[in-house]
Amino acid sequence: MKKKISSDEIYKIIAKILKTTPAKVIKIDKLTSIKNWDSLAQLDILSALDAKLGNQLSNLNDIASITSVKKLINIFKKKSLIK
Amino acid sequence: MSGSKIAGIEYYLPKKKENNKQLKKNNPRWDINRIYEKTGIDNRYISSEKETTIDIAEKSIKKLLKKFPKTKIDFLILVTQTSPYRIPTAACILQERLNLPKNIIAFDINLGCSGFIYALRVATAFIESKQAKNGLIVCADTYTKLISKNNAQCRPIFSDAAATTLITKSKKNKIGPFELGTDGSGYNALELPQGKLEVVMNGSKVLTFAMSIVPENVSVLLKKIKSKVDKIDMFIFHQASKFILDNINRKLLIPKNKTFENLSKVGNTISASIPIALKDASKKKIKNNYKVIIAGYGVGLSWGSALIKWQKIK
Repeated sequence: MKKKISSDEIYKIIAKILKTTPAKVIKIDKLTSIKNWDSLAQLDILSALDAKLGNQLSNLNDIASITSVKKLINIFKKKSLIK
Repeated sequence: MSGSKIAGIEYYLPKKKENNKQLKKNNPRWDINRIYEKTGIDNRYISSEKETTIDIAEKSIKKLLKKFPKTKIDFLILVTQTSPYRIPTAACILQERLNLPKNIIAFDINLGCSGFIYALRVATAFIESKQAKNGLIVCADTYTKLISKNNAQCRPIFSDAAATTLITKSKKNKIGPFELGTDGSGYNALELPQGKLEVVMNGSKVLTFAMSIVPENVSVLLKKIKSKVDKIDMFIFHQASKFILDNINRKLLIPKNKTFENLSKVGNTISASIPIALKDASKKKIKNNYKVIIAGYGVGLSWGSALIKWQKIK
């Protein structure tokens, strides 16, 4: 069965990688504006989300450059990956 | 149809090394621990100012020719993107320097990290078609000449090296099938822009490309040979970076004991990385008759994988 992820889980994963709180991720939304973000952190986020989704992010280039969490969730919604 | 096998591998690394301590000294603001965590690379080899790609290629070929007569070499394929000559073909210069037979087929292939796989396909085709019996694939690059000490994307990763692989005719075919691919839309993920002397890399593009394409490419190869990860004895991938290798292994569900990494001590040596890894792995991890899948991927964007039935090498 296709694995899905909730918005809360996405916020938690991102917060853990950027060493902040989910509330802050929700508030700021733009990842590049969070203190610990850099291009390596972006890749960690994608890798962690892919692992959580059971390797479903086949075309990672589509989402590699997205730095808004809301946009990311919208893309996941379109791919039916949100719980 | 004649089969082919890998009969020998030798490599040469320049004398000068650059470790992460030196990298930090040149770039005090860099978070070296974090860079190491992602790249898995501590040492890189740096060719000297006067040492060209042709020079290091020659040294690796000479090491191999101590074990195989040069008169029996039918072809020489040089895989490089850093020839000191735009004209002529550097393989011709190597033919002359090494006094190789004049009836040799010699040419360059301009590819990066996928280059060994492509050259292997060409080499096996020469042997299959009876055009040749024995030949050399020489993978050599000196990328560091095009990467300044403060290039944060490239300097921690790329390393200079040359590796020579001897391909010979074999009663039983030991190389193939292959699965190759190209996506030129990502040409600017890693490039030396026209008129510039500094390699530019979009790290995110390269990493996400590798994480997407390589698992897919290897899966197609496994399907082609009607096999599965658990039926393959070893996976040897281009040593791009630890982050990429970890993600490829994760996506393909490859257990750690079936993988090989030597990037910490040699860095990312472009097309030479797979033959260097094969040679190093052959000392301990790969045994006779092992089924090994190799995969190269990178600049182009270009990629390829192949199955090898391993035989003890010279």
